[in-house]
Amino acid sequence: MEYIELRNIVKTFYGVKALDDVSLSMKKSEVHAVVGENGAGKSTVMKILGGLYFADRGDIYIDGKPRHINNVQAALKNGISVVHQELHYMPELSVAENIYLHDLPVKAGFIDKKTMNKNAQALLDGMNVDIKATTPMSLLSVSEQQMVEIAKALSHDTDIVIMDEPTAALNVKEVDALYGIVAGLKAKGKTVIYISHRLKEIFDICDRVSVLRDGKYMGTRNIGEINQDQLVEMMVGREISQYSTTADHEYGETVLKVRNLTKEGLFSDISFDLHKGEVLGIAGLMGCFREDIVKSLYGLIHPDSGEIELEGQTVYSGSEGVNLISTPRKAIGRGIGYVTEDRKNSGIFALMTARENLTISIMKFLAKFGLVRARSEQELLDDYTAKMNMKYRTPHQRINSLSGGNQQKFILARTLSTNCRVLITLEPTRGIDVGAKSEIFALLEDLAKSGVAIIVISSELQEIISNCHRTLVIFQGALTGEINKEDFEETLIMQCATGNEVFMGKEADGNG
Amino acid sequence: MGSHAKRIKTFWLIWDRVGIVAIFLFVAVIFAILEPRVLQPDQLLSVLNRSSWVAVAAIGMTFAICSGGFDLSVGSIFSLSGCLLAKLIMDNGLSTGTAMLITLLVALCCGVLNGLLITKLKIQPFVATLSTMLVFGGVVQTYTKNIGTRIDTEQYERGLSWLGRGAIFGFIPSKIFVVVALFILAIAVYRNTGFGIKVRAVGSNDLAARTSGINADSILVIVYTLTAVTAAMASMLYTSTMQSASPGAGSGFELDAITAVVLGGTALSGGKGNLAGTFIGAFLVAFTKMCLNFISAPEAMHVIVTGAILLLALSISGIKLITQRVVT
Amino acid sequence: MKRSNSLRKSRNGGIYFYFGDHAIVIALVVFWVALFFTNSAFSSFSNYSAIIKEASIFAVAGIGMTFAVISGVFDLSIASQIALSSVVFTAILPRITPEIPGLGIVLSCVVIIIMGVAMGLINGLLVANLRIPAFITTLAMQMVYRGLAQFVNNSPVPISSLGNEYRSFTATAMEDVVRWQVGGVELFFGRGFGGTRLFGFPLFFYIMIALALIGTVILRKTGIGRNILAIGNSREAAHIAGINVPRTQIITFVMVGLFTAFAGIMMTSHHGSSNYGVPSGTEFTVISAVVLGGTALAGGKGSILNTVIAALFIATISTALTGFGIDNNIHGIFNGAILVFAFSINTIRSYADDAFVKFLANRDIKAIANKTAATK
Repeated sequence: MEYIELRNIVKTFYGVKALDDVSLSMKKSEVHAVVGENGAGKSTVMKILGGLYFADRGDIYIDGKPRHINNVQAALKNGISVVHQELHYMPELSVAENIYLHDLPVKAGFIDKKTMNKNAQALLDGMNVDIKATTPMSLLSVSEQQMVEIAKALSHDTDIVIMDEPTAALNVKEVDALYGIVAGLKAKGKTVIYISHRLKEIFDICDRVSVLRDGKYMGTRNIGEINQDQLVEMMVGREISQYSTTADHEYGETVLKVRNLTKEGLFSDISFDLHKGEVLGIAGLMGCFREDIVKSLYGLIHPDSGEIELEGQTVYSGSEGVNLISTPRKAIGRGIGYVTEDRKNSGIFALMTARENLTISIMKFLAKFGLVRARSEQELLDDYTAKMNMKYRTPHQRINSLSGGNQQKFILARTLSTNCRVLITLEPTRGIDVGAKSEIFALLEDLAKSGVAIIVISSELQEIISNCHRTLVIFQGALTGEINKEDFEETLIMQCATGNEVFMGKEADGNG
Repeated sequence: MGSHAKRIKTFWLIWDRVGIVAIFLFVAVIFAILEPRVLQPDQLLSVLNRSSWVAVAAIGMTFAICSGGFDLSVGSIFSLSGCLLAKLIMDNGLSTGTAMLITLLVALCCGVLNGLLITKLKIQPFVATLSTMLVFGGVVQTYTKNIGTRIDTEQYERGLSWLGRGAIFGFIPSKIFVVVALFILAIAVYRNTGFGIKVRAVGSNDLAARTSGINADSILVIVYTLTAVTAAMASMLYTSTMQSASPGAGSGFELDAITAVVLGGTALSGGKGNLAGTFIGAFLVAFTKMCLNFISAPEAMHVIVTGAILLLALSISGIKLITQRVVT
Repeated sequence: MKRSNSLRKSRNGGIYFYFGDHAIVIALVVFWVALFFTNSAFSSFSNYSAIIKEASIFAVAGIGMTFAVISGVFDLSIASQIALSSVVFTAILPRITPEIPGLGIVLSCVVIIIMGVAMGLINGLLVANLRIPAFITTLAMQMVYRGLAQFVNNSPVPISSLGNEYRSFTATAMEDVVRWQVGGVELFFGRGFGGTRLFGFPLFFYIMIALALIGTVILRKTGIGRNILAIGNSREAAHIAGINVPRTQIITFVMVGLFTAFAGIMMTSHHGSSNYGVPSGTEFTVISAVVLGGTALAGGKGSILNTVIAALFIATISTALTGFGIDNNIHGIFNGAILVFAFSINTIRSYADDAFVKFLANRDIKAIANKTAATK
């Protein structure tokens, strides 16, 4: 029996299987990588091991004994600490307090601050990072906060350390420090479970790698016996011929021109064109800031520099201080539409009726003497119901009682009701069933044919491959790939998304 | 951009340390122009005396706001404790010590009730304490039948007079001694105990504190208990000074306490308290009231000025948030 | 799949433990019927008419507060707003003596309404621009308005020196001067304004219903109302949908000020005099009515008619308490208890819901276990 064994783990979220009968095992004092595409279930497995989620079925064995891990404390007791992907820290507290909050050293009833600071400093120095233990957490940069998060996990001195995307926010120097930390842990006989999107890191520091795909276990390999292409193949695992590619109509002139768009800490030097009737995909792994790029086209993020030209007019220019799309309201006025990825919190108005949800953006045009004309509202609804095949019992039904697909159609209809010429959709098919997914994309294609320029951000590569004319690939806030439909290949996109650069765009003016 | 951000950050860092003093000087100068007598030492001493109850209640409020909440029921607890103390001594003939103990216990129960409403029924702190403000206020009215109690001199001399009007070493008013002692204790608890750090942790980021293994619920219950108990202590100082208690004594008192805390630089967003600032804030509140008395402003003026000061304190913390958000 | 569906249904509050959006209507009817049969004091029509009259003031203020709570904020300054309206109303009414009878009242009302809107605007600007929590901003403004009310009430030039003369003058002015002919029915304002009846109901009842209908139309049928609902559901979604969130927030407070001004006028004419201290605590009764009426505390949904019903419900209870000879001082405790209850309904409901979901899940697991045991 191996040191850590996960047997037949099943975890379901709202009827969707996130993990389907996953069995994994790790040896003592190895660095074990777990990889997979977005949504493959890596983080879920680790959250189960770390005590944040509880598996529906399956067993966990550590050192040959079955373990019951139902909260963070239990995980720590069983020798497991986690560096979480999301930063959980207290900005008002000092670095040392953040690290040792779980176990404050006490002398005669009072906190022994000296010892605490000394221990914390020793820990940080040992990690080879230049952070003072007494600094308030809020004054640190994001990458320093991430290092403190790692220090926090190390302070537990557990036998098993799980690192969930620890390098997502780190710069090169700190990544080196992290390599040192991992090597040190291994030398001390500890087991490190390492999750990362960056395949290079996995080949640099890991001993073995396990692959998950769509919530299923795909196999484990020794690092020496596999190369990067084979690993990507394992992660993606599908034949390209599986997909029918649509988006075969020609597209027209340039509608949107983005040049050298930069926002410090998020993305830099992004340039691309969007054409009339085109469906442009933007791919990239989670945490690559691809959402932030399009948010800056809709006034949700204000970029630092660069230029945006819409229909021949400069709407944003960092150098001239022009920003005509500084709020969503203004962006809507200029013909930009936006469909959010977080339907529940920033898309629907959950407690309002379906019809009210549809018409909220264009109340002005439906009102007469300030009063909304029910008939115009109903006409609009009927119009979109016919176009989009929306299903509901009555127009006065609360929108949260509709299915996810229908909610999404309502949001899409609301956006279209503003007569947008550029439509930005983020994860348009997240959390909706298969039938509705293809309907949504059929709708997007129709829209594109009618001349709307569409940007689609999706975590599911096959969606982009099947439906887009072109795709941009983002890695760590930079453009690493521009691929045309003819050259679409899942492994190629994954290569770009993990840091290799490929430019095959028509203009091929990529400046990486 | 970078240097601008840094300048804003530096400004607020300095402001956190000396802002309250600056405001105080500003107010003092204005009143000194209107009426120079306000700055005489014996006047300032009397202000210090009169600030003592607000200051003590503001200790608990500092912890409550620091934990990310509020306690609006301290005014009612203040009334309740004072009336209870006076009635226990006068009507039930208890000794001063016993009466104080019982009063503190009752306040403790009030605080635990607040804490449970907030953590178990998950009512927002301000709404929960707003409700219990009404409940405790109703209890006082029912208990006293809306009549105040005066402690006769004989009973008063047995202990309360020492607290209210006595002095230590002949020149330090005992009230001030008590207040200073409580503040030193509170600062020690805030800075140097696990409880202090955990309160800041919960106020700073509740979720992170919970994932770090802190029992945030029990911390919150303790915080609201602390608030209630300090309100009761404040009421004892007040009652011992006035030699009487009335059911209406605490109306608006919670606002004075909040004003003192917010003026003192404790962040409304939680996680960051400033007890020394709270002390000066309480002094400033009392000072303003005395100055208004001095220039014989009508009662309406008192109410307006109290509201305006609170608004000013809030605006400063609001502006701070806005400017900091702009830079990040 | 089937199991998760049943879980989700109960999680949405659906069918198993449901207070319903209109629970308060049922509660009121049940309560009234019960009182009618059990207490002789409640078996006459005039009693209910008195309750309606008392409730109508809170109900009208509640219409405004419903807008606020729906948008996700509270306005704790309304009691002081009423006080200020009331004081100013009585201060200006005797000074307006136009030729046409009744015009004085109308002009004074207009002034008060403008003032109410102005107070709402100030609150709104503060909340929307300073980014401090609305409840504490309005708590501070409450003091400012109350101080102003005291100021006006005690102002040296005018009112207090008039003393009782002034009071009776106001009362006379309100009782006698104003007499309108409306469709053959004579309406008396003043003390009469409060006392006037129409088809057996107090005039206040009709005012309340009319304002509630207007409020409902604003909330459901205008852009302003929809925007308020939208920001209460999700500020972020509203922002993305192109709604001007700060402006909507300001308008919400203006709504509160507007309806509170109506309540102030009604309160004054009910008492026939002004008192800057009288309505203290009104804000809590009003908030209780709004929340008991089913408006979501977190905002996003609510019904103005239900607020009105809940105001009637609360007035009934407090009248009943008095009727049963219970000490007036206990009313404070009672008000607080109602608030706690109203505010914790959702949590209690979710506890009950969780318990039910657990029960269902256990049952399912047992059933699955039995099945697998049987197949083996």
